[in-house]
Amino acid sequence: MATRPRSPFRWGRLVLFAVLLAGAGITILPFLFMISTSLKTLAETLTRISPSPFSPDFWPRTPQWSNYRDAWKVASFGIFFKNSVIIAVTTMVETVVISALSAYAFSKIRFAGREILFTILLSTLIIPETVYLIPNVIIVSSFGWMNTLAGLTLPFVASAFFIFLLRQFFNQVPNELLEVSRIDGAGHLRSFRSVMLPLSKAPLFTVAFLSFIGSWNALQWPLVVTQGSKWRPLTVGLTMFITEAGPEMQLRMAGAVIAIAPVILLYFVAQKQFTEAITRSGIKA
Amino acid sequence: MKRSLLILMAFLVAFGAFARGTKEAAPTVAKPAGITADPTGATITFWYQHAKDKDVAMKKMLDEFNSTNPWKITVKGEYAGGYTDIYNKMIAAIAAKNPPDLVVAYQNNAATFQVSDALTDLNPYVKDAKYGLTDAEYADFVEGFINQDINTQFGGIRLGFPPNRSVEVMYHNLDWLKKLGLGVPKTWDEFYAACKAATDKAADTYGYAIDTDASRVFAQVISRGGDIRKADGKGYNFNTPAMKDSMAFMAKLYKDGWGRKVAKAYDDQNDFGNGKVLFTISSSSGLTFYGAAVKAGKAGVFDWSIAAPPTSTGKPTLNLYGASVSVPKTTAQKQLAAWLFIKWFSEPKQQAAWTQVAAYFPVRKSAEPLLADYLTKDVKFATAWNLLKTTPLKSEPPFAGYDLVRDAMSKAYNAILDGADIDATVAKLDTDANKIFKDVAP
Amino acid sequence: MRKQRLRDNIAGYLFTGPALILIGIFSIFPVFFTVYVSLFKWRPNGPAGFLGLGNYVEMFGGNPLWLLLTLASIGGFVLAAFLLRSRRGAAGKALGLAGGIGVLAASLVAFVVALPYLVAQGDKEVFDSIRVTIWYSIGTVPIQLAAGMVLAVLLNQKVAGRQAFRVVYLIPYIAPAVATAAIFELLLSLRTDSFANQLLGLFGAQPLQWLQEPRGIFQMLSGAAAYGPAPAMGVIPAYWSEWAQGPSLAMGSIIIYSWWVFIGYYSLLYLNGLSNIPRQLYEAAEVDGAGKLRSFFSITVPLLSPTTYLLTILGVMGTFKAFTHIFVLRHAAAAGTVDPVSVSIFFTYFRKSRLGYASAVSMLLFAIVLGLTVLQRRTEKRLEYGD
Repeated sequence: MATRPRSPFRWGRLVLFAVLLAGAGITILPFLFMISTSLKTLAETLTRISPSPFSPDFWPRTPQWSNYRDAWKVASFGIFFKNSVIIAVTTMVETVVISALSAYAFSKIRFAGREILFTILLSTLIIPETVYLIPNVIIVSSFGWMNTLAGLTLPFVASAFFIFLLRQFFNQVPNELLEVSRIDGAGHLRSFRSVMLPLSKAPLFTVAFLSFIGSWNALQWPLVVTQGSKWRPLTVGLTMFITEAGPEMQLRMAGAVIAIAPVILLYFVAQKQFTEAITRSGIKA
Repeated sequence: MKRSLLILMAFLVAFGAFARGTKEAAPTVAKPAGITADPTGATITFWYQHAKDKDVAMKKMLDEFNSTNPWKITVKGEYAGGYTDIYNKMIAAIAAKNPPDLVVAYQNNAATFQVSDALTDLNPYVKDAKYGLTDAEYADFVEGFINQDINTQFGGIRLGFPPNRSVEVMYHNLDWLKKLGLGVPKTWDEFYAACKAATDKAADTYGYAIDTDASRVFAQVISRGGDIRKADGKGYNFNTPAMKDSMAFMAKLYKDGWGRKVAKAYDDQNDFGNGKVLFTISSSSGLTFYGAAVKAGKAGVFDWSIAAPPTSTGKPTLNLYGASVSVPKTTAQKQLAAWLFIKWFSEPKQQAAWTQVAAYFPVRKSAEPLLADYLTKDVKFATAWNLLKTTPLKSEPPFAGYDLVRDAMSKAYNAILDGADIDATVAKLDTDANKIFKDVAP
Repeated sequence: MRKQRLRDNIAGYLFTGPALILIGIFSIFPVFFTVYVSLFKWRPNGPAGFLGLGNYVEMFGGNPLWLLLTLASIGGFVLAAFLLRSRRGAAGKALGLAGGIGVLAASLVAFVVALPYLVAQGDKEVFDSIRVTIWYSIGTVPIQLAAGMVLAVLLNQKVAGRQAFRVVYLIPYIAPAVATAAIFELLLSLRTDSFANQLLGLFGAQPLQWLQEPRGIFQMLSGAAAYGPAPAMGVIPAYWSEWAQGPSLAMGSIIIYSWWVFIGYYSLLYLNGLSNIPRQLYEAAEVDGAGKLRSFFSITVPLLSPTTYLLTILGVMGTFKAFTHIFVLRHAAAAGTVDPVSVSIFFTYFRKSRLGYASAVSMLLFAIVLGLTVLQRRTEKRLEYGD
């Protein structure tokens, strides 16, 4: 292995760091604006406006943390937050279970009609959302699931995308490992639980995380399916709050930060495992 | 291969049957001829768009109704989002056959609901001997309010009832006008001169914040004695002198630099509060917000007020708007219960209470004495109210699909401001609008 | 053995049962339902009259000639591509070349002539929305993929704060569109003091109307100032001149927003692909004296091609389905130029409450996406690295 002199290497890293920092700055700028506006008074949002974080007008004179308390109270964010958590966690758990079981079957169990069913499954990936919005409303309503946890979660827990993803991974697990447990007399469920699951922590984590995010950020469906604040999630509450707050920019931004913060926090916490999971799951064509 | 095809066919047939099946159950249609339903003990749901303080106030009024009404009707109200959210939800609810029992809707939205035959005609209820309004009560409604919901597109049935109203007014900075040595403009020419005088490039001030919302277009057309409806009510007519003159006027104002476009919602209000713009034309329901903007603004607190927008006919005409409440077709009992609530809500005592919270106008003239204190305290609101009582009112067409026409109007207005040929643009707007009218017709 | 087969079948159906039932009800049934509804005049409260193919006739116009000619020309393109690829001997090659070019030329002429007439007699709004979708696709997918790939390579290097950077670049994707759009409305507003206009001011350029600008980008760059309806022209030049104007600046602003949202997301997916490339390849290249740039183009890009093709399919499909990130920045001044098919269908469903017609347009969208997917899978099979 050839060794390189150390000085050019350091320069390269510095330039790289600078470039990434600049890019990150551009990416973050809108959020900085959101946060700084959320901490201003109404008067400041009208009079001290600047698009550049280097100008003092960009930042509040004294941070108005009370804006967050106001936004939280006024918009009953407590309830919406709780709802979002319940809906997202339920969706995530159901998605992981259903997708994993299905993917395992499509990958490792030879059953009649497997290939055709899988092709039909894949074809649902093409369907645009608008096609199933109103039919689903009719179906959910006729089941009596309007404004219930079932109506908010079940239409989404079976996703061809996640089944496809997991199947790709499972396909790469050598069949011999499963044969071993089969010889011991284990049924499919046992094999799945004792052999496949432990190996699949990473891709399962990916599916869990993506489905959580998808559910947390969903807007159109919960907007139509929820009535009243009983099951209203954060995104719907935020949209309504943004309309409510009207010209009070600082409250709108505070509401927006409240909606975004948990997701970002969750991502920070889970990030390490997430990137590891992506790295090891191998999403191949 | 064959087997799976069969399975697919079975799917298709089964679901097709299922689909047809869900269409079979039609909602029970109430028979309102001489209302015979019994409203006792009914529970109804009410979707409204009132938020924050108004939400709290509405809930209080609902509590009052629920505990004092002699039929033991219970109204469950909920904040269901903004007007557009409620509209979208209502369409989905109609499709799913579970609409609320009372819903807030603009007249043209109600018309779109009625294309699906989803609403109850309220005329029989208004005229009913036992549950309706007496002639005196009917006459007590402010002129023009109570008839806004009668829809010619559907043969004159009444698709809603007014819980409150607002009008379009011209917000103006009195201190600034005084400084310029000008009075409040009554004609468009005076308006132009004032805008010109107010524009100062160095101080970055200008005359009028041009909001390209369709309601502003309508306000201008009626101020010139015109309308955007066809005379026979069967479509739109934009190829009128009133429309073209309005557009030409604004295009000139914009080109000369005395007016600037509004970038996004509330920018005009904020510029006004900061003392950057002399005039805005907007809804009277924004009174309290404008007050807050002035208080918080850069220019300190200045004297401002509202007036009728300028006119070219010598007499101003005001653009009257405000959502009504509509009663979807549910059961005879619930429909009557909903009507009884609306009737209660429109009574002078409730209207006075509601006005003080919501800054909308009461729909009953006899609410005025009950509002005496409020009117003396809030001078600007009193000004607006007097304006309302004495000025002829006109409202935008309650046609199904008008929402999309509003989009087209806004687009045309913007293009003309940017220099598009007025005749060609207005002609295209007229064609597009009438196509929408035909597309969405019942 | 039989018993095993039975056990396998039972297990298979038990495991996949829940998923299949749910997908059957909530994804597949809606497709059949939509096909069914598209044959009717259908209001929210139910069917109002059987139309047969009436909705489709409204969409494509009364004369089937133009639709058939357009479809035939598209088929011709596919055939030409096939012919130009055949490599069976010298004679075969020459024939393939000649035939391919001939078919291509004929298809091109047919397409250029037929499409404008099809649009003129059909529903212009629908075809305009397809054009908007295509602009959105072209404007977002290539850049998002390329930038995503470059960013992934950068984030894969050993640099301080690597983990933090990876998080930061993903935040725009995680945040709900409703919140991030509010900021971009400010950044790209037409006010002279907006961020975008101040940036322009630095370069001495005039402020622009950004999200409210309905004129096409190419049109603006060429100095043409026209607003309002275009002057009367022949059918064919009228239609193609609309293409020549390019996407509106409003659409361009939305595309910029889209870059900000999705580049980090694509970089994350590429990071996965990068991890599959063995380090030894880079080390070997280093030994041979290749610079970083050379390694990038000769090792990284080719070995990432499977990922690239997957992301291209998903990306293009995504742009055809995209709704939220475009709708949140829609302004009436630019109406029509920022309305992709998904938004057009949404309006037809909700504002016009014409469920039958909306379903027909949905079917068209479905057919286009299906066609693109099939096309991409065919090209993928041929061009995937290592075939």
